[in-house]
Amino acid sequence: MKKKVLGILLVFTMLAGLLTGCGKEPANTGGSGTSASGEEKASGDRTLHINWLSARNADEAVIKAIKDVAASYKEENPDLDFSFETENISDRSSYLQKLKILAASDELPEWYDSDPDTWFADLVKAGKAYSIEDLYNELGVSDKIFTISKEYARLSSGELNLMTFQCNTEYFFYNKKMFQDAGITSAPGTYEEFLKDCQILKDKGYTPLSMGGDWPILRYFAMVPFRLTGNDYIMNSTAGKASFTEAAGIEGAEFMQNLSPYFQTGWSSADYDTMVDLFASGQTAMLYNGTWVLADLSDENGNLKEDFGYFTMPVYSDDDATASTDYFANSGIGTAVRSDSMDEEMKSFIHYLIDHYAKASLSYNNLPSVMPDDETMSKLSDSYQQIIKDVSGVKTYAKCWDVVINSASVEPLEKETTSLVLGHTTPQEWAKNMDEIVASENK
Amino acid sequence: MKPKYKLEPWLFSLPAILVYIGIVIFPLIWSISYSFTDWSGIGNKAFIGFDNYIRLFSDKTLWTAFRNNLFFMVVGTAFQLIAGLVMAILLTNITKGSNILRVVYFIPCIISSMAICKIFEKMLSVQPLGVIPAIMKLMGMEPIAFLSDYNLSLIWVTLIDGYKFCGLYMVIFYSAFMNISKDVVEAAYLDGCNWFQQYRYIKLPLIKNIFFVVLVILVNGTLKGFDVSYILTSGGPGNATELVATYMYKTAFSMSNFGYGSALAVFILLESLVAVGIVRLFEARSHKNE
Repeated sequence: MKKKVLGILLVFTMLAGLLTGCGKEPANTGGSGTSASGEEKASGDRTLHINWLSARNADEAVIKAIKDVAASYKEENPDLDFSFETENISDRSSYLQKLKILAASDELPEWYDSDPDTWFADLVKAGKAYSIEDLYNELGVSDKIFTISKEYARLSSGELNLMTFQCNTEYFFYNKKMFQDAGITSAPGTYEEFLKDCQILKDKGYTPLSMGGDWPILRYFAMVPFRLTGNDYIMNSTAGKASFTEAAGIEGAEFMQNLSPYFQTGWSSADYDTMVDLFASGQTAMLYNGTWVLADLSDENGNLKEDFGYFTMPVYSDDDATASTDYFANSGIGTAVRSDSMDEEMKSFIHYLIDHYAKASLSYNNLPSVMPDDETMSKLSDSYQQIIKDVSGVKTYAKCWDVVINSASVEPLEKETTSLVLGHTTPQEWAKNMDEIVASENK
Repeated sequence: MKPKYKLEPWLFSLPAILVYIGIVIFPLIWSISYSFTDWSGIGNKAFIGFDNYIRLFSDKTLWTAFRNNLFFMVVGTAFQLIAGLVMAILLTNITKGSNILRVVYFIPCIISSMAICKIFEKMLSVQPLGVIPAIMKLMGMEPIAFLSDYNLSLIWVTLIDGYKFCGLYMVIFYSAFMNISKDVVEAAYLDGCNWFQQYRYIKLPLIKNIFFVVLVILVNGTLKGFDVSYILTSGGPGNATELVATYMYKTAFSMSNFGYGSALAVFILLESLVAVGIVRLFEARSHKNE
């Protein structure tokens, strides 16, 4: 009997130990309103806690600039219980997976990064992202933001639910010495010249193009259709209203296969950092990238290093639907604010951020989404002044495939395009597969 | 000796059973229920019956991944089994330094998959030049970007995965060899048995049960192989190294299709059960023939 009682007691002791860790902590709703322990704030207590799940590297200029602004905001508001924490996941696939899991379990942080893609549009419909357009209007700051930094972040419905912190254009950066050595005296103006120059560089023993990561391959693919049709083709084909077998799609696919011999060996398993490093270290002749990469390519004065030059997207033909001054410009990945965390303290901080961000951003050689004041503008390097001019000159901004297409189709698009470039599928097979993918996801 | 009270063993097992139900059975049932829905993670789940399962049959990527997985299973199982066995045999025959050697063989098991994959990624890279292409160049060969080669990438993923885990099976086989009675081995020597015959007729037959246990673990593990393929090549180039588990993961968490992803998870469960069932059948027949 005693043994039986002892046995049962032991079992319950083990069970109790097992169940101890199962208690749920009160949810930290973040934002202001409640402290971390979930107690109601006393009247007069000001709190603002921002957790930012970011797709940017912790060393990126945007993160550093905003953290600097947050630090000075904290200094200027000593009575505010303020914290600003970032969680950085720079690998985009891993970041998106974490974000989607958090969204599915309704545990989004106060700030989170997203592109204005179809998945984010669903999130907006579910009321998980505050209207940034309303916010800008309320704060009276809309005119301070570059047009591209607002337009790029708009959903296809026209809503603006993302703050953006960059103003980027995309160029072909090239190594001047390699070009000189290969006898190329001027940057290519047409795609025919571009392919010819790639061959000249290859014959000279140089690797013409640097490639790596997920999205860069899609930019190359987007170039020819953009020149031929503007953004019409991308909008129609991703909606299933146009076929990838149409001329714009097939010519784009053929261009990709023509580029294949000019990428570095093993490009399909290279990551984004390898792509940039190969160019920055002088191992490849050209790199297609956005102006966010200037931090890696600039000298201490913020000017492009002497070894490097850049040229814009070449023209395709005399019948191009877009001008030579139209190319990819964007504002980088946007940042959404969770609807229920937007209160007066949050608005106050964002207003302060917009007022101080431009200067902070430029101190890290990053072009901000907010127009710098005249004094700051006059101190900008020649490179940055030219870039701002270029951005202002773009009439039609090329849309990015990985943002416009249904988010479930992005991975298959990347895989199919990689297979196309590696020569495992023909342009016609690629186009047929893409039509099937878009049709099944748009059902 | 049977316990006096029949309830007590169950009561003592109860915490473990509860944990098992909580982390295995319950999520399994949950996942099966998701597989009958269409859900992107946002908004409500829409019940769609067997549509996800019907989609499995026409999904070209799934069948490519399944073929890749069969290759991964066969080659990976053979590699890890043979490598583990050979290393265990070596260890049983080495007297000096066997402890250090055991640690060295086991180190890949305890290094994270991320670290192993990044090491091999750099070693196999052509631009910038890694160790293996550099050796190929020194030997007068044209360096090959193995991880970007459609035909060779899966072999490398399989071998790297095998390299990571073969130490575990080395430990299992080594323990099995150590548990063989020395009297049996000495008697064999006295009967004129040489080294090879000792293993062929004495030691390997005596560890047959362990062999089948290792085979079950290997088959099950390789059918659910994920980390090396995902980290090293992310299933690429194209779908050359896509495995069913990596495809399932991307379907659920990249493409935000939790319903179809759950159906793929059920597919993995069923194929694992079938494969293990086949291994058990062979084991039973093997025992029958004794």
